Amino acid sequence: MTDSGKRVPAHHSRTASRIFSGEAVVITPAENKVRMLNPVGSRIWELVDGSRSVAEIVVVLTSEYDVDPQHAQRTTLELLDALAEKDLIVWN
Amino acid sequence: MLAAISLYPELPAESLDRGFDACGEVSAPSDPFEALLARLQNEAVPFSATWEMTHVCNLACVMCYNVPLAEPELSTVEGLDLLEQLAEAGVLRITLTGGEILTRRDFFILAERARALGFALNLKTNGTLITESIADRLAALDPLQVTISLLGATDATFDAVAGSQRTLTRVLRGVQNLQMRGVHVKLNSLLLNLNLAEREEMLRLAMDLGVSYEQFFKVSAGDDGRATAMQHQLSRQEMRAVLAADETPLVARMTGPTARTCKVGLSSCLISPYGEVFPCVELRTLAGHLRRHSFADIWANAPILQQLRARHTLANLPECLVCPINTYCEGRCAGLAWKEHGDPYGGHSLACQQAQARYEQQNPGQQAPSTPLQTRLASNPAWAFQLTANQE
Repeated sequence: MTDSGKRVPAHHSRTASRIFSGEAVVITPAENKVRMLNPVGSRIWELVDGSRSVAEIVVVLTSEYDVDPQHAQRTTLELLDALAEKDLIVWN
Repeated sequence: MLAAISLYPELPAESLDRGFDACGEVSAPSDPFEALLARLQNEAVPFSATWEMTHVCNLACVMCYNVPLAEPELSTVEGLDLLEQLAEAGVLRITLTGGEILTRRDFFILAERARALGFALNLKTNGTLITESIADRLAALDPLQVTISLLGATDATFDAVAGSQRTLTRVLRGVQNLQMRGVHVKLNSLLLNLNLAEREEMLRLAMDLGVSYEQFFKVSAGDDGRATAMQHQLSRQEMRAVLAADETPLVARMTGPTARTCKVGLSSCLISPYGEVFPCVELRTLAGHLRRHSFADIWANAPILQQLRARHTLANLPECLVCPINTYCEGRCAGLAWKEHGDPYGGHSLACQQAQARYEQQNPGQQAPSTPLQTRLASNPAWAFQLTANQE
């Protein structure tokens, strides 16, 4: 596992979110926007709790999905970096 | 068994948050978020809730519909438990309203907990208590919107409606304190015979402030059915003049016998300061009491909610179905019908008058026909009393 796997993401405090039947809905009041994630993205959003590291999230994902761990980590990081860029998550 | 990884984690689909109209017309979804809301309604998932945190208020508005009960309002502990239950049930949007929310000493304890639980907050306040330090704390909640009533363009008029002193001055101070902190403010003007003369000035004031703004006619009877506020409702002529001046587009609500006429009971509800759960802010037919049952139990099993979900189409509204001007009806509300005549499947005088005003605005020179409800009430003096104050 690389150093990036040790990073710990958390939902940005300015978001409001729920998961409806596996679909994450994220509202950002300041932007007046609603965003929805697909099922895998929603599962990642659900696993982001401010205490799990990326590596720990990937362990859960690889237990639930038929996916290579390296591929799972790379794509998870890509998603999380993109979410951070949009101020939907922060890195603790 | 492991799921296939065919579903790559994609960047989220985005759409503008256009709010959640818990009682508006039911229309076809126009984007993925609308489609999700439609699905939640079909599955009766409680997406949105309104909590009247208190019936205490520092104003005494002539059209207030709150009727305080002689029982304690939910305590801080009960309020915190309510928020946990709503989050568990899936509520994402919560509207905190009153009374005046800022009269609750524990308002920020509850609101901050609501944000920590992941709710998106709408706040409704009269705005008169928003000092700079209160505005700091409200801004820190990141509300979607703070909605404030603008009931006059002068202190004199606002005071006459709100039963207070220097009301406009205090409201404007509150609005500006929020705006300086980047909070999205929306002003609502309920048009009454007391403030109609200042309608255009209120519009200009809102535009000068740069806030979202809406004017509407809907005067609600008291939660106990008393109709004293109705004496301030606009006449049909006044409604027609406003509709013509604003050129607001007709939004038909009754598009066919099988179309739902509103969303009541599908994905939203109202919680009173005392823990009562109602289908909506107007329809105060008790679904259940949080001091006796869990929210999840009430939401899933309350007969009134099940009934509203299963049966609330135009075909279920006998008088509205045969009304000659039902295609002009924009404001029929199950709750107002219930308050006026005890029947959520009936019409009500405001909706009929508004439909007539709309008919006459859309068909210049033609007088609108009477509605079946009006014809029935005209032949029944016991019912006609309430209408006489509102007729032209």
